Amino acid sequence: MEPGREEVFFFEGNGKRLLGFLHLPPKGKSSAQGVVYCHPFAEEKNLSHAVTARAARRLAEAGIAVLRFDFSGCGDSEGELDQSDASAWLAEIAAAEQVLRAKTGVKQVGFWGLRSGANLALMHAQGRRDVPFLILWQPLPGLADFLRIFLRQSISTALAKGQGAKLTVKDLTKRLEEGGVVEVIGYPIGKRLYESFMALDARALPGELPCPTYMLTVGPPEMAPLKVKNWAASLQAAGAPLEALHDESEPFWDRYWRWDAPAPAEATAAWAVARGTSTAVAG
Amino acid sequence: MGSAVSDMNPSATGVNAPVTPASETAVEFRLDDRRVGDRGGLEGRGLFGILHQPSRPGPAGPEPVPVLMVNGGPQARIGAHRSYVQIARHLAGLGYTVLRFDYAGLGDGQGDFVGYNKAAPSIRAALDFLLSRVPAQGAYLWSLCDGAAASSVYAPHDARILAMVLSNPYVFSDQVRSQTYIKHYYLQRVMEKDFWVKAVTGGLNPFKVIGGFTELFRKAFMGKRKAPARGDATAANAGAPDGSFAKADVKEEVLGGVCRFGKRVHFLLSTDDLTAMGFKDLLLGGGETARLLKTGQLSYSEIAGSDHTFSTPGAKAEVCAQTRAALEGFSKTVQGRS
Repeated sequence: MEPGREEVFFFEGNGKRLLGFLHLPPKGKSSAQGVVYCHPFAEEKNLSHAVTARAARRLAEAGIAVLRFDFSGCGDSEGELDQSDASAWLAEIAAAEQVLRAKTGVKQVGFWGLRSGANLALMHAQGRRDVPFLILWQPLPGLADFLRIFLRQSISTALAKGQGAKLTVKDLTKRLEEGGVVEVIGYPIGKRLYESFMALDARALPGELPCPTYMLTVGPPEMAPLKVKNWAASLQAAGAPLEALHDESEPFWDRYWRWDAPAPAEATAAWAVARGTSTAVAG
Repeated sequence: MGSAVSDMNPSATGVNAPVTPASETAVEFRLDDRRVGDRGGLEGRGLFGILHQPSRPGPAGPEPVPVLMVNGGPQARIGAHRSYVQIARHLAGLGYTVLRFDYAGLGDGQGDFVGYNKAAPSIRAALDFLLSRVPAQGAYLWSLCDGAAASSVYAPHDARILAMVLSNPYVFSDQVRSQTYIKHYYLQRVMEKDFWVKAVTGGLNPFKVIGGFTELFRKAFMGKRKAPARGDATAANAGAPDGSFAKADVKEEVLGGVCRFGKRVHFLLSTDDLTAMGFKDLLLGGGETARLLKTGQLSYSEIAGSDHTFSTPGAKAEVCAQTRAALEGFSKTVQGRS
């Protein structure tokens, strides 16, 4: 079957010029539903880019229109990271959803995210009844701890250069709270971004799910995110519509020279097809 | 050659207000392999990029030659920590038209990644596209790491490339890596007080240190070793999926390429980067490159205190400044606009 069309474009989202990449299903497969992909944070986005582009192509082959986009201050989109924040990114997910509907005519839009993008996708869908499905790849246990661990890398960098021996994460957060910028491996972190991660932390893993959800965790068993697995198990015990899979392939968002993660992509596409997100039609 | 995909038309969807004034356009073009024959089914695959166009008129006089940025192997077109985005925006602010793109199999690029030394179809397609959008006869290349290796291999075969800025070119075969570690790590390490404190207080395992050094010395000076076994960590870390960076000929490919190119090449070299320092040793090590440095065809400058990807604001600013100086230097000898 001839591959579906792909289109790259800029669109306006929450007042910013954002980069979108649309994957359409092959000719002959109608797309009753689409999905918006939310990328992870900082270098994880860069390292996972080719993998998620390929996974999006697999979903499109399975009949699901996919819109990937870059948050403001990230990737090809407008702005710098220290001028962005996660609350604005939530508004941008809503804008991307509207663009996907307008460009494809799909009636229902699900959400798919990787790492912090998974948490944001979940937050965006929370409380809604019209979201058909969620795909969560390796959601974070929390946004606050994640950002603190991220900040710690700037201390490691300083130590490697023989600087900052007495610097702590507390010093860095104080600097952020006072309006300063902390550079972490090339990414500028500002007060707005820091405060938004702290404010949204409590919503990272909510106690209920709005729709059928597929959660995929990846990596060696000893690195399995226990808090996330326990969260999933408690939801399942309460009867939530959650299917969870752990794949023991490499955590591709944390590795150079990785282009593909076929097992997570295939498993996700199979789940989406099995729950009837696409319909083959004559043509 | 394919068509450009311009900005989304807000009125077509009815959901968006007009976008901010556009100096960046999302573009699509297609690989065209007819001139190089069958390259594994790449023909007709779509490639994607961002075209940066100056939003204000440049200074009076000839318009600047456009710049094509070739990304490094593991990176998407945005570059590590968005460095390609920021450098491209800076250059566009100076009046240069810049194209960033993903070659096949990288980022959004369709198809499979085939390695730095087989990137010719992708670079050619990008150059075709760029020169279809700008009234110019040629372009400059800007690239980092194995993007610089890819540029070096390709440039001698395309007369439209007028000059290149190559940052921290990747030439790390086993042999080069080992020689660089010995010179820039081990020899510096034994000069440090901390090393001897650890040695005297038992903080070092002498067998491990001697064993490690012996292995490096063997790789560095005992000639080519046999090809690494499948799963060998050295090969796995050596870059391209086919392990091509582990082959000893990568330095000949890159250095030979810049010499055969026959036009200006300026190297930006980070001082806190073993890749760059290893390359600098080769560049200054005599032979044709040393001769071309004297003639001015090749030149280099250093980004003091910078790591491999220029990850601090100061390093990025310095890269932008030194790139600008290099491009302005090129323009004195190149007339690329039609």
